Amino acid sequence: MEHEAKEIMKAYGIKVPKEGIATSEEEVLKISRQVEYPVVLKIASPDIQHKTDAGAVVLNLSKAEDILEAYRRVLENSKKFDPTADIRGVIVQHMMPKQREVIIGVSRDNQFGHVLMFGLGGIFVEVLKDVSFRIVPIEEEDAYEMISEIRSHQMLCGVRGEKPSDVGALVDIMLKVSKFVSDFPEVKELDLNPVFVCEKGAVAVDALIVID
Amino acid sequence: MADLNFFFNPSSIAVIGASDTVGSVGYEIMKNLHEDFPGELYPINIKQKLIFGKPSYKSILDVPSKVDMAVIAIAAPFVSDVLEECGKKGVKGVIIVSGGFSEIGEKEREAKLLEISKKYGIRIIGPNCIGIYDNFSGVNTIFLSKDKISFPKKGKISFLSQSGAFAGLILDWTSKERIGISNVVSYGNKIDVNEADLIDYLYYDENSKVICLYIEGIRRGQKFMEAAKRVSKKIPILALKSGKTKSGAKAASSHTGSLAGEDIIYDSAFKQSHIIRANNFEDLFDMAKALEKGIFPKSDGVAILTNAGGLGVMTADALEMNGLRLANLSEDTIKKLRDQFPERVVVSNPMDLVGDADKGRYEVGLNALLEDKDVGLIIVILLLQVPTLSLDSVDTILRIKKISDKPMIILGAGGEIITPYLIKLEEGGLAVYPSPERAARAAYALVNHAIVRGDIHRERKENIGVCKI
Repeated sequence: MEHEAKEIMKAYGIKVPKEGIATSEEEVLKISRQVEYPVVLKIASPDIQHKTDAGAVVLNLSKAEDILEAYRRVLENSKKFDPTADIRGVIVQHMMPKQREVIIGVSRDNQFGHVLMFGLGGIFVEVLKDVSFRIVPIEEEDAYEMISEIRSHQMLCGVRGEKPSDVGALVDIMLKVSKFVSDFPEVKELDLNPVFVCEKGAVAVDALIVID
Repeated sequence: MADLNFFFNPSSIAVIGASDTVGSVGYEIMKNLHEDFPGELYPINIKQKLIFGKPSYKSILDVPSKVDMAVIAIAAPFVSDVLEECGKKGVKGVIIVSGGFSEIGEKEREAKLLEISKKYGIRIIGPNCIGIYDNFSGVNTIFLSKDKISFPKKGKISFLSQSGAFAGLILDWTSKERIGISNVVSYGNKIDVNEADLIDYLYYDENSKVICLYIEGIRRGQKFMEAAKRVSKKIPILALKSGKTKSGAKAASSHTGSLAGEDIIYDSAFKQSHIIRANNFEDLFDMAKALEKGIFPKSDGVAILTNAGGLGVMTADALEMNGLRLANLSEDTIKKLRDQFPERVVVSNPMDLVGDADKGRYEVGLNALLEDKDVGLIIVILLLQVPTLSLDSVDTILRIKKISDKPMIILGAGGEIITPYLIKLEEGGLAVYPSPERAARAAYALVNHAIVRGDIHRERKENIGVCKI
């Protein structure tokens, strides 16, 4: 589940947004204040993995009344989407300003074991399938190669006057993910999607871990 | 590390299922070994008393002396019994040519073989394979008749093939292409000896300087990568992997899972273990025959010397397509050549000696390029058909090659009249290619291996370097 997955990533030294799980209207307001506005609300349910499809994500909330309304809507849509879903609450997450998005993930192959993937987020991954892979464990050199191997890697160097992204921070996350799945062979799949990469630092905004 | 030397250099071989019935597998194996293998040969056959003039034994246990290696070529249901006997006899390695195991679903029958192998500590190649062809020791278990196949000349290329039929074809094809082979191994169902073991063995094989692999699927990927990483620093490894187009789509709940196709994973594994991937079998041996020479560039700059402008440009394009860099000739080189060459010669890279170039102009050009520090390797384009370039210019090229510490690749093609001169260049130790694209792949392989060896320092892609904070 997303929240647990991020807790694990945090334990491995990967930055994640401030967030908490609310199970009541009082809590949703309290956590919103703690993580700082604006916030994102998302359903916390092991049965609903593609939350946007379920209408269970609401972005960019800063006012109490909007937050409460969104809280109710997320719960309602989720129940409609899957009436039998095990609902643990609603994730309240600080909404980070939009940044260059990348995806860092892991899959497990029968012959080679874990493989790490890197790609730029959005259409680069979904339409162009512009991604690179390496067998885990990887070394720093491999991570740099993975980044330079994708066709769209220049996007990270700052195009059209944008500031260059912190490639070193991405390499750091890739090495930490490699370490994590090496420690836990039972990890079947992992997605950090998106990872926001800034001028300085990178944050795993969403995380998914699938265990055997 | 396992010693597999007894497979390649045994002093005695028993052929279980040997036969003098022309056309049978047992006949062809016996015939090839009888003709080429200088060691002791023991035919084993339950019925016949004399095969190829040699006394035949009912069982390997009846052979009076020790046996290093056995070849089993009998029907699958009887293989485990004779393997047991090989174990008792103390045979070190067995090549099981017979098919009829896991490839047709007979998994238990195959498991039995592995059990016996463990019990006696006997190593197995196969089953369901054509075994070993060793051009130096004369071991040849390939049951193809010399009436229908030519075997290649001696060389330094080792070829490991998951497919027996393809291994057979490659032997015949390399003989036609004048490519030298050290050994070929077909390992079939690889219940015991696999790619990783063979790669490890070849590290110590004095005859092999390049390893070519034909792979359909690897079972223990990590073990394979470890072996390849160890070996590829010293001996270049090239791989042809089929099944490129096979859909990798899997039921996956993550983005990563849905994108992690089989081929892209092999691609990554090859990169990480410094294996150069070939696009097809021609490409595999094009690269191998350049690497086989054992001379590697010290700079990644490639120089092109030509008497045909068009071919020079095409070669420059092909190099760039392979991610290679044209050498920046030093001012010294340019000045020196400018002084010696007529004005119409283009003194840059590619260096166009133009259509009236003679062997003297090639000599001056080559010597200057050999001295230029940024030039790591030279592609020499020889359009031998032009009037000013005498056919004995190949002697000039070969003389320079002898003193050159930089790899030289020849791009030359021709018909019946030119071909003998191209062959002469090959026999003098140069790799010759008929097209710019194929010559460029050879250059790619040389530069790539030089990077792996540490002779060329590879810098991180510039763009990313700039981004790095």
